[in-house]
Amino acid sequence: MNRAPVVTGLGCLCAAGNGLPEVVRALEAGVRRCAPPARFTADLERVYPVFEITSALDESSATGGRTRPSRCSRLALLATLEACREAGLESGELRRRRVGVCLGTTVGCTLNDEPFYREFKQGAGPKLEPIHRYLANNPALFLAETLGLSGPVATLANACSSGTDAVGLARSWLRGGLCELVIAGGTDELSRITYLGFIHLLIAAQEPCRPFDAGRTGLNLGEGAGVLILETRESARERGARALATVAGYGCAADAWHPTAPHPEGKGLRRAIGQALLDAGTRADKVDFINAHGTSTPDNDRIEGAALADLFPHAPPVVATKAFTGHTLGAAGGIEAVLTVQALRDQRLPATPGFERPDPACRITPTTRNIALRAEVGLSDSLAFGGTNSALVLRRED
Amino acid sequence: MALAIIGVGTVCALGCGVGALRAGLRGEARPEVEVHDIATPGGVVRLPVYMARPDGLERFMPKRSLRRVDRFARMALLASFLALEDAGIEPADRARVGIVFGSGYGPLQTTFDFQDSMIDFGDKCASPTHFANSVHNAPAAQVSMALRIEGPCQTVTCFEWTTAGVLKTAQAWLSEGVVDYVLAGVGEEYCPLRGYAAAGLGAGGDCAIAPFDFERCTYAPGEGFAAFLLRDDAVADAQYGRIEDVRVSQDAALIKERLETHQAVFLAACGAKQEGAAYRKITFEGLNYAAHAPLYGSMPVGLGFELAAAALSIADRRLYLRPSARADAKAEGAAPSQTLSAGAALACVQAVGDSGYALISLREVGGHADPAAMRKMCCEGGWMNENWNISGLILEGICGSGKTTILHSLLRSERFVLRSFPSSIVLSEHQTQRVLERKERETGLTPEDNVGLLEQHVSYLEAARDRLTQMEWCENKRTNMRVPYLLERFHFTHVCHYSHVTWEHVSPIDHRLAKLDCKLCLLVIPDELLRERIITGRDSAWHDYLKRYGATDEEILQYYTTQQNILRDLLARSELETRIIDTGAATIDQAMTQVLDFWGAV
Repeated sequence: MNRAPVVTGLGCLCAAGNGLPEVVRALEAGVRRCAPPARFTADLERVYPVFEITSALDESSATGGRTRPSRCSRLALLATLEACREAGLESGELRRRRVGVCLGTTVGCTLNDEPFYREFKQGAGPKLEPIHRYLANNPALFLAETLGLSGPVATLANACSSGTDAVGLARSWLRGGLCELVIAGGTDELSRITYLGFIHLLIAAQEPCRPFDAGRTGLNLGEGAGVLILETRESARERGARALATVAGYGCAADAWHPTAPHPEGKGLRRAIGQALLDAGTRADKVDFINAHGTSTPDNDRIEGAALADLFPHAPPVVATKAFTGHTLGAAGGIEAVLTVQALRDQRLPATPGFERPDPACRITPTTRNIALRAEVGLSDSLAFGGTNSALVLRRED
Repeated sequence: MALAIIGVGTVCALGCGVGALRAGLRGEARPEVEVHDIATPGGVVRLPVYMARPDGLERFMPKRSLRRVDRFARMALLASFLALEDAGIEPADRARVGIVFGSGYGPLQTTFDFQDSMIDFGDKCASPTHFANSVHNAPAAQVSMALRIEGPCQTVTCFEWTTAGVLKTAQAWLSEGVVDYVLAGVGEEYCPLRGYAAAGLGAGGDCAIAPFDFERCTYAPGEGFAAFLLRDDAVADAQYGRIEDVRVSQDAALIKERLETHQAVFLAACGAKQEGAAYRKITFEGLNYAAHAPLYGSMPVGLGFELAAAALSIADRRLYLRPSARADAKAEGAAPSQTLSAGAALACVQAVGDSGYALISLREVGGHADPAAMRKMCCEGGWMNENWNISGLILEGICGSGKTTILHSLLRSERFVLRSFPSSIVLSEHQTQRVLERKERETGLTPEDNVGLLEQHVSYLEAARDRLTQMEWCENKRTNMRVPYLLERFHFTHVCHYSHVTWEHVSPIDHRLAKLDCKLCLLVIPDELLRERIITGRDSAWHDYLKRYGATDEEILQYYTTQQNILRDLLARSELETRIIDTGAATIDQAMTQVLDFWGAV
């Protein structure tokens, strides 16, 4: 029996678009919306652009519980509703079935209400509304409560690989029989705190990012959510849902090296990819394209590029979709998994904007134009602070 | 699949290790509870706080390597080391070990330390170190680095659902054969804002935590970390019992039905009034209930501490009912413990959300600790203390700062010469930098030339360290047998001296040196002595050499002033423990003594 769960629905919001069709159009047209942050300011000498969702979010469905949902929770909910629509899941069915939710995030699980903390620090005795809001907005719990889900719930906080790991854990839940369907992916919102944090780590760029380019100077933060509906093949068949892809394999491995820098030889990444391929029962030469982590930081791209060049000597096309979305942290793995499935579905891969000049140290050249694929298998990988590396192998369904 | 608990490590207000927890469960020790005065809009609230003391980490790691590790990660590290030591196991392949940690709130203090840096010093001076440590997975990352665990490494954060999520993840990895062992742990950290929030939500006053008083709020924040080494039950001897079931359910009737098959129920009830209704639905006559929050404090991951208490009950074959048993079942304190039946099951339950429950079912399966394995402490197997075998010092400084003089003097000093273990590695600037001069003159250098030279030296040091780690020697002699290594000029000089070398080129070298227990001493010349040290006090050959840096004395002095400033700036970027020593304010002997005292290795 094929125990690999299938993907039956996709949802995505990010700076590239409010919903997956808009995102796909932006990628196809090479449109990048990278600009100075609009929702906050910082007292810095330079401006670091971000990929921010500037259009208004649909508030109608984002009512949640007793407390106003955070932006992070609303992004997760909107992406979930889009994915559910495609999967043919209505709220009643979500409540009837044993449905789990597994989401990655970083900002969404952190108590970082700056005005509240400033008041507290000044001894002004602030009201506890931000605490209530924080307690009510753990992304996975928020979705479980809002949608009335009865399956397992987990929010993963593995920094930048959280979304990939969430899809991987959801896959385990389904294979282990914990539930029949999982809402999986990642969500994150832009925050002044992470903005300043990345700038002071000296890995934020003052220009739109340029993944794998010789002149790359760093990343641009972004925000958004990417959600996949995963279910057992039996569940999909029973519901009459169309399988878009299978989550064929997943791997995760630690560098055990440095709190923020990747292992110089990409040790953990190589092992994570190896595990994912093994888990999928496939080989490196069967991978038809890769959606790389590609943050555009000097270290990440050099190390990831070298690892991919070694592991995939047949040089499958590599795209770095962060050039369209920015680095959405805990959402990145979810968004990139969605876009990988979409590429399998459309058999098309966009160009990687910002890339102009190959860097010999990276040893790979990402897509320089939109290309048609004949792809059965796509790989999406993530590297994270703390030395976590994760990879998903996604297989096309006919 | 069932999980065997083969090692437990705890850090909480009772102290560190299962011994401290056991003493608390037996009523032989009391937690250290601080009373904090919390200013709220309604007045000052006196709040009991269960503060953990992560003392003893130095037994497992060099103190210096903890320099940038925050308190929360220290608790996680200590609990992890203790769990491994308790298990007495050394997995052969560390890529086959996974880490899954969980926390309801994450590293709170460091989160606010970062915000403090923004507020106190402005956006331009926010601390990158605090930011990097404030991510929720920082403790798991620190443990993976310290223990060199290379399997999957993840962090779950879901308030009261966290502990169940952690165990479910461990179960998935083991059942899918991804790993052979999982180091699973949960923890929380206290910080003043958490106290403020607790006070605002009704905690505080003079009352102790009363877990079974469902009408009052007796919440008192706690902190700590509980770690478990887990294996597939089919292949392990479960001295602490076998986790047979982990589930989260909204169905109180189902949970109640399941509890009936257990000899006792350990509730993670922690005095929060809003959880009372949920607990009331699942307590009934005829079953032993205990709650141990009065020993470790109130926290979202209390279920992990109840699991530790249950694991100890199974290992000791005693049902620990202190300090708080359900009043109508057993008078509080009247039955400190009962004998645990062979094959008995204990349930650990925590209320989650408004009306849900997380349940862990743990069964005694006749496992026993292997005395031989228990003797095999982790530190003998290379899990830790790798750096204790080797310890280095880099002497950096511009020309005339006294590096060579101090190096000579240090090598002749009694402290260095009369060491009981005579091995040492000493590389002067000829080996660390000047060996490149010919190539520089003839063909020019690339960053790869510079980094390649440094890498060769570091690789040798790593190989030496690894050889020493593999030696079989007694633990108690280990700290006396460190091999000292001295490097005159190293990566700082390459960044400072060669315009084509940047910090990014050498930062991996810096990181590797940090793992080799390396310190760095920057010798500086005060401005008023620069002219004497660099120009007037030197011979004519030297003056000819200096002309490459400027046509006039002023230009040359400006060059060296800039060089010295660059070296100072690099201190902030290095992971190494560093010290500036002003050689203008001390004699050579005094400066050498300062260097030796700072180094501390000889």
